[in-house]
Amino acid sequence: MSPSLQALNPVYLADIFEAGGEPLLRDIVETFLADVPRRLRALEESLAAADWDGAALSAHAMVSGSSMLGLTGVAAAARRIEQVLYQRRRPPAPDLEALDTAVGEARGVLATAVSGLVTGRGRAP
Amino acid sequence: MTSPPPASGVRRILLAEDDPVTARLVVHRLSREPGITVLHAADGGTAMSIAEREDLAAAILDIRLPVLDGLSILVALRKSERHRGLPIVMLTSLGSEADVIRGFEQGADDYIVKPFSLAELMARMHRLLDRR
Repeated sequence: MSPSLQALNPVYLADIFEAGGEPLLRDIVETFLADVPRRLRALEESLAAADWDGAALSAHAMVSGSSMLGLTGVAAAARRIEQVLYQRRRPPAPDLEALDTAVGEARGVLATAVSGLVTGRGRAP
Repeated sequence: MTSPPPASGVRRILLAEDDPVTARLVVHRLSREPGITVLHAADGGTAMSIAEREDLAAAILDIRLPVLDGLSILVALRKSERHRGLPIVMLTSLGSEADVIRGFEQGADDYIVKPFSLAELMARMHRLLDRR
């Protein structure tokens, strides 16, 4: 099983759903899905320019957004990269690939979780 | 909030947060409270501009921000005549305990670790705003 499919904490999506129902839940998820490709591009560009501070900001934003949705797989991958960047070093290629993979899987993971909440099948305990 | 807004009008809360997911959640939840307006800045420079021109009831500052980080904003607000006593909450990420310590050393009133629930956010904001 891929890491991110195992790594969704449903409590946070359920909290959002409880606070604002389906409209807020879908709005927040779409906000994340629209933002994360931009962050990945910014991360790549900063790494290409050896701009460690800029890259760390992009990684940090991905940690924030993904963790607030309970995407612990994405958050962990982005956090590993962020920590390396604070040491002003280039993150290892496998760490960058792990982030790409986790982000790539996030859309499906979120769609399943949102559907479960909206239809009442995915409520957090 | 349990305390009513001041007779002078709306209570403005500055939110300095560059992650749009966190920002939308905080704005959504706080804006549901009567008398609360959230002024959102996606970078530290914009946050300082807002602080220079607005009367604020509280500030929520992410520590990692473009242009000017949250700790620098905190220091600037604590030095300013206008916002010296402003309730300030720092946002930080799990595993960033050093940031929390630096925040308290610079005069932060509280901190919230991401990920947080909206209930936790409101509990902490109630505590800060109600004691004013």
